[in-house]
Formats: sequence, C-alpha cells, structure tokens
Amino acid sequence: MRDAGAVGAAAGRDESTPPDSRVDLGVDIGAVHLENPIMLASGTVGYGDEFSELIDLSAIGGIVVKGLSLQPVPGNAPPRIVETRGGMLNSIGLQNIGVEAFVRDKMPHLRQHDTVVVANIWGTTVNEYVGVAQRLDGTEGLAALELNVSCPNIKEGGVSFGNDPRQLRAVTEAVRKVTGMPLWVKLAPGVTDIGLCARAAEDGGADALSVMNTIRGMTVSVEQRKPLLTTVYGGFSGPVIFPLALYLLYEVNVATSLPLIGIGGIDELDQVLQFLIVGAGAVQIGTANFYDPGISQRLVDELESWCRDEGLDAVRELVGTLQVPE
Amino acid sequence: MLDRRLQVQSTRWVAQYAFVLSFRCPEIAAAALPGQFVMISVSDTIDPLLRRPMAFYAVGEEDGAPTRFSLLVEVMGRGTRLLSQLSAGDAVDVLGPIGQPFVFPKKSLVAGDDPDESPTEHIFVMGGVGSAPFPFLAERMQLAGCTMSAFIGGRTAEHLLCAEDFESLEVPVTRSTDDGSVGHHGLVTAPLATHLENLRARGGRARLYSCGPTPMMHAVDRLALEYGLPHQVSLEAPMACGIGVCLSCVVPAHTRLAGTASATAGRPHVDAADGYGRSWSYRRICREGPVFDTRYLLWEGRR
Repeated sequence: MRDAGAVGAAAGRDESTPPDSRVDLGVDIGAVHLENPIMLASGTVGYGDEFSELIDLSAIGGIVVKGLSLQPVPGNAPPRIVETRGGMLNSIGLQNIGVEAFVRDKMPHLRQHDTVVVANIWGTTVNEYVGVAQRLDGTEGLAALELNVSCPNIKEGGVSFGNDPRQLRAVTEAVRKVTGMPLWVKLAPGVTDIGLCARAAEDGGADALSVMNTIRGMTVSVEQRKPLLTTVYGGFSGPVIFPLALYLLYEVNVATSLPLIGIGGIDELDQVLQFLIVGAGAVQIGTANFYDPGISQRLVDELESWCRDEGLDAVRELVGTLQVPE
Repeated sequence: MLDRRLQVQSTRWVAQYAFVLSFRCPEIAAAALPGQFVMISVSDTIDPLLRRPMAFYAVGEEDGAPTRFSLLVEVMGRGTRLLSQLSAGDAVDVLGPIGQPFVFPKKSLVAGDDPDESPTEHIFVMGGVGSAPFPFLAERMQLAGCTMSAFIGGRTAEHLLCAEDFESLEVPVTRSTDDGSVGHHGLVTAPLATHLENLRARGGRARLYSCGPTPMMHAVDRLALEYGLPHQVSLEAPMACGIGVCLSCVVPAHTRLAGTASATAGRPHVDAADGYGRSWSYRRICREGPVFDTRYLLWEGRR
C-alpha cells in the first residue's frame, strides 16, 4: 500500500508486456467509453491541472471535475476539514470558479489529455442546474454531466434534491430536456430507500448513476463543547465509508438497470474489484487522492495485473458477477 | 512537486518536544526553497489518514550539490508522535516541495541600499515550532549577503527552537519566554518593538518575516504597519492534500494590491470570488502560500 515509487511505472508497460497478454480494461458507461474503469472523483482533483503535475491523466479512465455552478462560489470560512479515524469531514462550501471560467480557462488544458472528462454540476434551484447544463451542452472534450444532488433546494425549504425522489426526478428531467449529453446522477447516501431515489433518477432520464456522494457527519471538541466544523456537520469520506457505499451500490443495482459508477472509500485494488463484482461498471477514487496522489494510476496497473493473473481477457467480464446465496 | 517513498536517515531530538527528521532525496533537496514544505505520511494504516505539512528546516549538500533535507517536528498530537517514533531506515511518503517560498532580494538588489549606508536588516520573528523554516532561510540569505537578526519566542526555555542554528551563522538572537525561564520574560514582540524603535532612530531599513501562533503574527504585523516595514508570514491550516485540490487550507486574501496589476505569487490565477466583484478570495495556503506578503491578507488593520 502507498508505494509512491510506483507512480509513473505505467510509462514502460507497453514495451515490456507481450501483446498477447494485454487485458482489455475498457468499459462502457452507457454511451461513454472509458479506457479503464478507474476515474477521479469530483472535489478531489480540482480541474485536473494540479494533478497533471503528479500523474499521467491519460492513463486514468476519466476525471470528474470540481462541482460547477452558474456563478463562482467563494466557499465556506475555514477551518474546512477535520480528520477522523480512517476518514475525514469536509465543509468546503462548494467553492468553484463557475461554469464560465471552467469552459474558458480549464477545458483547454483538460482537452489535451487522452481521458474522459465529466463535469459535475449543481445548483440551489432547478433553473440553476438547467443553466449550467445549457452552458456546458456540446462543450468540446466534455463526455458527460454528473449531477450533484446533495445540495439544498432553496425554493423547497432547503431539503436537498437527493433526499426527495420527487425533486430528484424533477431536476433530472429538467436537465435532460436541455442537453443531449450523457447524464449521470450522483446519489446522496443519507436516505431511507436509495432504490426509490435511483428509480426517480432513472425515470427522470438519467443515463447512469454514481453511488455515492459523501454522507453527513460531525465531530465535537470535548474541551470547548463545540463542533469542530463551524457548519456543525460536514461531508464524511475516506476508507471507513467503503462498506456503506458498496451496500448502497448493491441496493441501486437491484432497483435499476442503469450503468453504475461506484464511489466511496476506495484506497486499494480489493475495493475496486468488490465494486465491479457488485455491479459497478467503473469506480471513482476520492479522498485517497488527497493522501496518496499516485493511487489511481497505480490501481490501473494493479487491475491489469490482477486480470491477467486471473486469466480474464477483459475487465468487463468481472462486472456484476456477484453470487448472492439463495 | 514529487511524491517519493523515502527512508528516514536519522531522528535527532533538539528539545524535550521537538526533533529533526532527516532524509536523503537529491530531487526534492535540489528543488527546495526556504518557506516551502512537504506533506509527509505519518502512518501506513488509515489512522491517521492524512499526511502532515512540514516546512523544510535544512537542506544539506554532498560535493556541492543539495542531496539531503530535514524537517523540524514538534510533538503536538497523534501524527507527530508517530513521526517521533520513526527510526533510521523506516519508510514514509513525502510529497514536495510545495508552495511559495519566502521572497528576499540579494543585498545588492535591495532598492535604496547604498554601499555606504547600513544594509537592510532581515528580521525573523518566530514562536514555538514556527521557527522551523527560518534556519534554512537564514542559510540562503547568508549566501546572498543579507544582514539578519532572529527573535525567538516560546512558552518555556524548552520551547525555544533553532537558537543554535542562528548563532552558528552568527545571526544575533533575542530570546523571549512566557515563563521567563530564559531571555526576556514575556512576548517576543516586546524586544522586537524596542529593536524597531532603535532601528528607526538611526534611520535603518528592515524587512520582517514571521511564523508562529496567529496572535503573534498579528502582533508582528501591527508593528510592521506602525514602522512601515514589509512583512512576510508563513501560514498553516488543516490541510488534506497539499496539492491544491481539497480546498481546505484557505485564507481570505486580496488578489491584488490597489494600483497594481500583478496577482499574488506573480502568476495569473482564477479567483472564486471574482464573479462577485470582490477584491478578495480564498487563497490556498498550499498553493498561493504558505508564505504571504501581509499586505494581501485580510488581517486586522489590513482590510
């Protein structure tokens, strides 16, 4: 684990590996083809420019950029994170440069890499989502939109879109109407029945579902009797959330037939394989990018080796192979 | 910026609560500049999960080329305690060098410096483990022919760090402790204020560099304002990545000064708050910092 020396090892792979032992790592999430199933999750790689100094983005299946809104957002006052056992809480406050600056300043750099670029988008009203989607529709080099539905709908009393199947369907439908781009919906985990939410997104016209966003958590200073985040709670992420994410993906897979992307706590190959077995066509690496920036590129290499050792010609053969006891 | 798995070369205790952790890595050592830092893993398990930011304390050379670097670590919590238990040969992940370094002109380039006049004095003000970046800065400044002085503060004599490093470079040191166990009894800013007053009386010029507890840096900055001196600070904040992507370690700062066109750190940057027409935005300590010119910070008296 965390063998940073392996970063960049992929560079020599093409020459050293005999052609007959190449594993097909390609996967399809609906109409979106990924060279391999390892993606970088929104909010953990910015817009790709900083990460391109550390890893070869072209070696990664895809990158989902920091959630974009219609206008730039400055974000919350610090402190914005707290480390917890095996995880962390964040309260960044959706800081982003806005959709206009993204298209103008960030897309030209992202287009230079041979990787799938997905734009994560959000709003506080249905109209804001629609506005961002319209601005991004047809953007050269952009493969899909991923809706972040874990934000409060300020016109509906602040209940988050993802917590209410009716609102979730409405926002998905509204975005569907204004874009022909593949539309992924990133489901929120803090719901009683995520299957209902999955079907609502499907009915609204989603092409794929990302499972899952961070779940809310909090932690308190015993000394000061105060929450350690000024916003009281934050998004909980990191390796400890993996079993929850895997279970929710399982539930969603039962509820819909849409392609799925597994997200939550991945920091080693075993967890990638578990997600694929349960039914994810691809996965996204999130918090691990913070403490192990070379992990995604290393996972691609490890996945290929694993498939070869297992005698798999294509990683697709593994997807959805879960054997549930009768 | 490089991510390398490195073996600890040595651990050397320099005070009851502080030690120096040394590594050999020519690539990182050659690229390191004073004020920059690394993110270092404190565990190979998921608890603690995140790497810790640590400033370069020294860079060592072999045959005239930088090959080694070291970090000054104070034991403050679980992560730094785990670091203190490392032995030579143990491996950790190190990402760096990270961030904007201290900026200092060579002696001959300081505007207004006349060979016949007394040179600009570069004054370091530090509290506790905030001393960490200054010995490296002093070493590089000495090579550049700068005149320096150091004001070190700490809770007790045991918390005064780096005094010997400055003395070995013949940089005058003024010590202050909260408990009076050594040096001036009280805040580091008291002898600093006296020093600045004397400097002004004889028409000398100075630049201030500080790192330590936020109230200390605020107090130094008030003196910087009072005496009209340039002031650079090295800031710290909870930080998950050190790469610029987690957006945790932010500080509100002006993106440019009134009447100037250049952004902080001298390169164009897209600011989150630009769309609001505000003159400030949240700047990342790991990317636009950790060293900031205080004129850019939204500190008391600077708004």
